[in-house]
Amino acid sequence: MAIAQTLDNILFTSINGLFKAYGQPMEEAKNGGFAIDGAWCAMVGFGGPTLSGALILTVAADLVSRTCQVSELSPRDWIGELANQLAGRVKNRLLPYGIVIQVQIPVVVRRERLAPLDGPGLPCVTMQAQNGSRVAACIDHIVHDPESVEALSRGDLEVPREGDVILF
Amino acid sequence: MGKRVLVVDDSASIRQQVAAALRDGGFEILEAVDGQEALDRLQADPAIAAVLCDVNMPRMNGLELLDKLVANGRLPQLPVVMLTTEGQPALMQRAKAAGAKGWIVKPFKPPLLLATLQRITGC
Repeated sequence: MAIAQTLDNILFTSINGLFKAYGQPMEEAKNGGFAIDGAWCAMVGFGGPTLSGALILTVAADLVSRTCQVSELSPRDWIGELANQLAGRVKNRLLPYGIVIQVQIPVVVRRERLAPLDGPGLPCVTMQAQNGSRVAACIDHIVHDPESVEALSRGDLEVPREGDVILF
Repeated sequence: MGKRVLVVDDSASIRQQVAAALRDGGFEILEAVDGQEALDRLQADPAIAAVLCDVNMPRMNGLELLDKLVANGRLPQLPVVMLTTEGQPALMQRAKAAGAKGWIVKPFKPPLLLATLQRITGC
């Protein structure tokens, strides 16, 4: 499977799993598009010998609030943490393919700073919660080692699942 | 007053979520934003009973903190559990070898987190 398709699939399942874990099950949005006003956006850079790039996550402001389980919400901090956790999920799901990436500290901006995120020719995964509030994300990537991703296949490496407690 | 747990994470939201989960179990929560601040707090407060620590943080990351705690003799006596998005077996092995007591992949489940801290602190 092509690396771009693999990343899209991983991103889709990772968004679903992350927001479900915070009480907001998602489904694929019926059509594209995302309101520019009132949303937050976080970017997480990543790098490794095979792949580098950035994960970009945009979340409607009300979803940012509803996923944070503490009262003293800092939307800027929380969207950064959501992006960090999403990048972690993607990173862990790439491990069985033999792709290792290092994830950097998230950078957060207001959505209107990144209006072209889901414009024509810029595909991204767009999902919506039950009330219609949306999440969009994409992985802008560069392949450094085309040979290794050409024959991309999933191995049997066991990676712990989110929420697992492993005592040594 | 319950046993003191030091929560080390650069995300204030995560520190607040962890604190909310553990206060239900009677723990007293202290916070640090990175490994360096955690090290300073641990040196100043020998009564800290356990540490919950992120891996990827600015200034000093969680694995570097483990190395410092080995060097100053706090590990392996002090129970340290890593709370992180990382799932790389090699990183888990490194933490285990340094003397960490466990590894939790975010997002955490509050009842499981509380039970884990109760278990490792003997509460």
